Amino acid sequence: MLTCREIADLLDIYLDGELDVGRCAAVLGHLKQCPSCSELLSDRIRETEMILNSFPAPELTPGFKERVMANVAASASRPRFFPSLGYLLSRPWLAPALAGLILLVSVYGVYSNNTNLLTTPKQVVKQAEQMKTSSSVVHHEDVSKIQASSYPDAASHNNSDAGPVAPERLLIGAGSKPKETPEGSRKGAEVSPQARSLLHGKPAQSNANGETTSIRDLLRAGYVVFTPTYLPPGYGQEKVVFAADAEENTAGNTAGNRETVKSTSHVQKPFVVIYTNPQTGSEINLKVVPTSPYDFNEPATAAGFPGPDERLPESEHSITWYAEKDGIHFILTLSGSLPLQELKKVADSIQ
Amino acid sequence: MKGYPKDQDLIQQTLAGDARSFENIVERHQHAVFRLVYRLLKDRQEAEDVAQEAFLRCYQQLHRYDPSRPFTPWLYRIATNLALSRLRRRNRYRLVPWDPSNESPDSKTAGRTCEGVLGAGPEEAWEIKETKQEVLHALKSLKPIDQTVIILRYFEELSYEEIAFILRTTRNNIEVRICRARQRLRELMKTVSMEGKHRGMWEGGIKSCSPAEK
Repeated sequence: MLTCREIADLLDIYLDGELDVGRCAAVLGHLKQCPSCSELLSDRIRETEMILNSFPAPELTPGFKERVMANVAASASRPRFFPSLGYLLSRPWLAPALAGLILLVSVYGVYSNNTNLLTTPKQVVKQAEQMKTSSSVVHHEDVSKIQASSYPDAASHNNSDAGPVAPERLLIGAGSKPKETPEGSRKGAEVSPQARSLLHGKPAQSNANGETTSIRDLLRAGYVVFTPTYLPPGYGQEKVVFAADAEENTAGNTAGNRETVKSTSHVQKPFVVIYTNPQTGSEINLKVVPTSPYDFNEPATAAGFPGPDERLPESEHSITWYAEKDGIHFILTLSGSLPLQELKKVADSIQ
Repeated sequence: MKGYPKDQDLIQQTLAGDARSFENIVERHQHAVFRLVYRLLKDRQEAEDVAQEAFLRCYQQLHRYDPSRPFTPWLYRIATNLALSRLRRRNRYRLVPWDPSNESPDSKTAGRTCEGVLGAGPEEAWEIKETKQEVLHALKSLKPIDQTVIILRYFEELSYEEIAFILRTTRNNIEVRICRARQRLRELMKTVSMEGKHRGMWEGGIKSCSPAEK
């Protein structure tokens, strides 16, 4: 049973019609039995009437609706189906949503494989390797084209990728002479095993024929040549041997070939100058291999220097060094069955 | 009811581009909106301006209206927010009695006065000064938010739920707030009655004045 004080608190809500069924029944039951609370209810009803009567509102001025519609017509042709920019900017969730979107896009950009963004060291290294590989491939393709245009006869020999080339093919044959080969000196002379060793990078096979010419012919053809001002006593007869094409004429290893190919821009082919002692039959060989400026990041063999497998006979010595002349870079290799000191003197005298 | 379409139907037609339908909406609700705004602002011209702005906002934001809910509280919410914003812009002014010597009764003095009056019983208090003017003065002396809930409840006869929707709060909060606003109103009415008994009725109503004029 509700008390009168509790009823007084509930009367307003009861009059507002907001009491639930249970409390409404309790209030009604109390009012039936309590005259004072019934009187209070009558006061509240009169109070409500007083409030409602105390604050009359005036009538709208005529033409209000027309003014509203004029404003509506002036503001827009029709109501918007989508929120306005001002409404969007005023939303409290907009800033966090935009921040999250930017973060999402950034994270996707960083970790996606489809983008060029590199953030982790591994990715940078990987991409650098890929670029290096692709660059190398393109370079080889370009050089191959240059070679084919420069040496049409050699186009049929573009099979160097098939592996080491047979030694016989590395020597100049009658049918594979390049255009730049100086004319008038095709003697079909036999190339010594030492010269073949230099050209092939390893001891030459026996009885391989090579094409020979002379230093004078090389100079006439515009070749850059190196001439020693000192030769040991007895050495004087010279002859020049060079390969059939730029791709197959070098030391016989693919690494050497690669550098030689790079040097084809100046159309000078590697050659070996052979100085012979007619009395003893011994030779001094000077191999001249055009090359690109030395790349210290590449193995020495790749630049045209003899590799570990290019061992000469025990009695021979070999000196290899890097030289530049007339703006062209060369790898020079001097070898012969001489004391090393003699060979150094010859090397020092080369101009 | 073909001759009296529902608000939702008119809204759909308005969204479809029928301006005539929105004109019907204005015609249907203009007086209620104006009365609500007028009772909050107590200024006819200002109330008309705000009511016009309320209908304009309603038209512009019609896409945001949820057709599953009643339209009137949604429209009243726009109008009430605009009116309360207008009241906040008047913040540097405050409602004071016309006679500066008569302080506006605050809750403390009202409470003390009520304690003395309570013993007389409600019947006697209402019988002493039962005039509309006293009630109006008391009503205008309420805080804006208390005035708002009283106006929405008594004059617009909205449910607690609808009032809660308009003021963006909960029903329970509105129930408590209405109860307190009524209590404060009664205290003020009793205070005004007592002061009127001793000093005579307030005359001239109230006016807005800047703080410097206090």
